[in-house]
Amino acid sequence: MEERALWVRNLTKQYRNFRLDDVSFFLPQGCIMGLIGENGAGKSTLIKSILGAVRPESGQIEVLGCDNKSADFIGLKEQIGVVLDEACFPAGLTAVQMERVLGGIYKNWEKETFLEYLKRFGLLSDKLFKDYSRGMKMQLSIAAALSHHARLLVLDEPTGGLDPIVRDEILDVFNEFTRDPQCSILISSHIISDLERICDYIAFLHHGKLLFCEEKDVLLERYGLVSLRREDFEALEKDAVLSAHDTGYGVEALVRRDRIPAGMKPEYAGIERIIVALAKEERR
Amino acid sequence: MKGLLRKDWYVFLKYGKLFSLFIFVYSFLTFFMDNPTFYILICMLMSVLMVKMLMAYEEQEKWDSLAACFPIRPEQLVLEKYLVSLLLSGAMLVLLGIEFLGVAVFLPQKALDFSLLQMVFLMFCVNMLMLAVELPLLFWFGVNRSRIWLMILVAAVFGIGSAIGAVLQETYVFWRGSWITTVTGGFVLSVIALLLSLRLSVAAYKKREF
Repeated sequence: MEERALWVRNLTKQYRNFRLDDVSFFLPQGCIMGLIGENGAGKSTLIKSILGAVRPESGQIEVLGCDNKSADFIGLKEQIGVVLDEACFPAGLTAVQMERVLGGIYKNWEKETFLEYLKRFGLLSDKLFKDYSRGMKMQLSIAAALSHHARLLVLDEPTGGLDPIVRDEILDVFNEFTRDPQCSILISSHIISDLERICDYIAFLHHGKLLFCEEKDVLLERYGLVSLRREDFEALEKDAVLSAHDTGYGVEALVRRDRIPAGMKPEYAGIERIIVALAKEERR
Repeated sequence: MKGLLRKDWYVFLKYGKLFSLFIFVYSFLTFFMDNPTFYILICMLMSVLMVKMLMAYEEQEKWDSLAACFPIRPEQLVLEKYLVSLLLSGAMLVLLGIEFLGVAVFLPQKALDFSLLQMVFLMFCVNMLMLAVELPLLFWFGVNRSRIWLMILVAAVFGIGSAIGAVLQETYVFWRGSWITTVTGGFVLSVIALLLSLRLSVAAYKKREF
């Protein structure tokens, strides 16, 4: 049986105006899962539930084989690298001071690794955290998450607000991290192109419900993009079409590859288009 | 725990300088005032405020959310703040003690009142009692929301205290113990209160979500 880095079962968390509703999925070890969803979809609630920072009403969460409600989970957090949606370090501390602080918190803390990441990201170690740009703050958080031999990274919008070059660098770092088959990543992001680049699995949260959790390649194989004349489009089965729009010259449609006539050759649709279409379909 | 203490130390060094200066001036004034109780109490209250300041920064910077993800037991996270509070109050006690000696050595013409030292110890106990009341509120409600509750609680305690005091005065029941008994009693009472408060704070922290 494949090892699961993360296993969420029937997770429900109720707030006054929001409900994370019966969410279930698992993340195999050595894989990267991208968590996608609009603002307020429940991504951060899900991540905080996994980390034990909020208490769900029902459901079970196993992280690296350990129930996150058990007493052992505190110790297991040594193996979880966390980046929250805001870099939460004290504004008046420098990276060097943060290194000393985190060195006193994590038993497996590696100063050299942290300093190497600082160097790699071009972060000045004596600069105050408050004087860092948003990108630099997130890079510092990522450096910290990667410097205590974590086996699972849980990252909430780590690339949000970063410029493309920095994002590219960070995505490379995540890819390097999962070269070790023991290491896995759960990453939430609005930037679907980033997730498409690095993720093995895509989970899509919409209004607190998990619409799907699929292998990225399966999604890309299932859906394709076709450009058709209007009469050819109208001849398609209704349930073959996920979304369509009139281009003026004909119709461009996102279709299920297994429901279209043989001989029709759909093009690569991209995860973003598939996600948007699925979200709109759900809304209908 | 070591990391958390270190973090608070760095934050204190960064933001606590003005507090420290204020405390130094006020504590020094204590020895030259006719009614020093107020000044001693202010100094001790400063240590309570400093802990509040540290926790306010944590909330503002969302460090508390990150700390909830650290491999640290809730008991340790809470205990660390109690340790910081006691270290700050202890530092205040030491500062006042040093100043007392300083005045004795460098200003021999000034007649030293040893009851002042006893008053310092008593105020230290009052400070610990205040911490015992305040910290569970801070852990339960957070810094912003705890303010109003603290005001209500302090008003209630002072109100009830004054009422009891008035009744005792009318019935001529006074405490006639020696200073040493008063200070020891106060110390024991405040230690018990702090221990109970620690348990409450841990329970409050465990109920919080981040």
